[in-house]
Amino acid sequence: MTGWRAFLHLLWRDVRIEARRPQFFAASASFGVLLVFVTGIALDAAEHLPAEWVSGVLWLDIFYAATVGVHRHDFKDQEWGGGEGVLLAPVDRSMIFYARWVSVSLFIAASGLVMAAAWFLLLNPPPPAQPGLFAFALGAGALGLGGVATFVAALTAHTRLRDVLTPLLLFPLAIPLFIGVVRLTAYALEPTLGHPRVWVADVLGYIAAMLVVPWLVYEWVMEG
Amino acid sequence: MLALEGVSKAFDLRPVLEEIDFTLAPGCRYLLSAPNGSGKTTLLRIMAGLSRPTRGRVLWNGAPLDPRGRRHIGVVLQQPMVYGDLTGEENLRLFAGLYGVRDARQAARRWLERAGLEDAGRTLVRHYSKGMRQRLAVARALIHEPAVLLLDEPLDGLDLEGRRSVAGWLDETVSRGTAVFAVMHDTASEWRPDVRLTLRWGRLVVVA
Repeated sequence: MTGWRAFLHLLWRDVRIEARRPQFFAASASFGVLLVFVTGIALDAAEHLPAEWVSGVLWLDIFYAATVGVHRHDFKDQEWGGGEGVLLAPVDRSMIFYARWVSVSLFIAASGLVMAAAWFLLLNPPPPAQPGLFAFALGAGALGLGGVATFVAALTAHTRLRDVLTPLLLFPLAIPLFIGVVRLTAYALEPTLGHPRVWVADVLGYIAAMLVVPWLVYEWVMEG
Repeated sequence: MLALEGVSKAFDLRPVLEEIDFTLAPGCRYLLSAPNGSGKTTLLRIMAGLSRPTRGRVLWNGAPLDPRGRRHIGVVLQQPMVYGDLTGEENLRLFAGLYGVRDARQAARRWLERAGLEDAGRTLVRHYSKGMRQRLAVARALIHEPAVLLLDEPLDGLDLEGRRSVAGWLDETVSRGTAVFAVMHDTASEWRPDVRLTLRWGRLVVVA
């Protein structure tokens, strides 16, 4: 069994299950939109906020909503033991991580788009002066967040307090990514802030770390 | 063949398994029965590569168990290890694909028929009864024709006909040279082992 074929089988599984019962998307998008709505009310007339602030609000919402979605996703693996069945298969376990990473990132990106639409409507930020950079921030942010959330979910899979531990571990580990995507989003809204090159490097470096670290330790992490 | 070399396991310093050395022989039926909490499931999980021993190694043909070794092992644990939001056929196709079975679709249909689930092949597994899920779990474990079959209560939840049918598959599998290592609480009359084992103070002991 080649790694790529296993990867495609596992990606098909996640997409098929989510298409049939879109729990990840429904949970994270509805929770995220609600967060945007509550934040909009709490900050009152968000149009007065600087670009960094509104960007921070968007990414804080996406991070929290993604945590809720990842929990729903893991539940499907545990409900009938399907996740353990996959661990028994003769495939390099890092492929299991990569397939899950890609599917989680796709679902985060989809729910992130819904949250961004709600954010434009409710918080009234300026339209992005650099739409390409804005799209890059959303895509790369979803990819980085998908990677770290998948890895942390694996780390906490065997613990009883995983509902609490996942966000507690996720947010400190995701700080470099969080700062990077918030800055990139702010630059996309307000180009006068300066050059975003360092933050592009920060986000890409984070994604590169997500490519390497789980490949080294995922097999060890998944054995109880 | 699958072998355990000095395998020990402890949870929070409490020893569960102690220095187990054991090699499975091809075409042999093993039955492990022991009281609750004696470490039967822990032993199966270690043999399957789902859990790491505290000391010792699990070997496949003399080398540490790796993905290539896992290709030859089929496992049924207490959960069916399938996805509730996939149909029976989709689950079997997924696992056949992951094990590199040629023509996964055909293999899935063949095993659905053998499991008596051909009419339920397009039904989501979450709508299956316990017995149907158990038959699907055994079909999933056998779809890649493993050389070793590890089973935790494989007849649990099955009616008499289901028990006979699954016991028949196991006998047929053994006749092809597969070693079957089953943990059963209730030493079911439908399935006769060649070797009976138990766990005493964490050590694997041959009873008969």
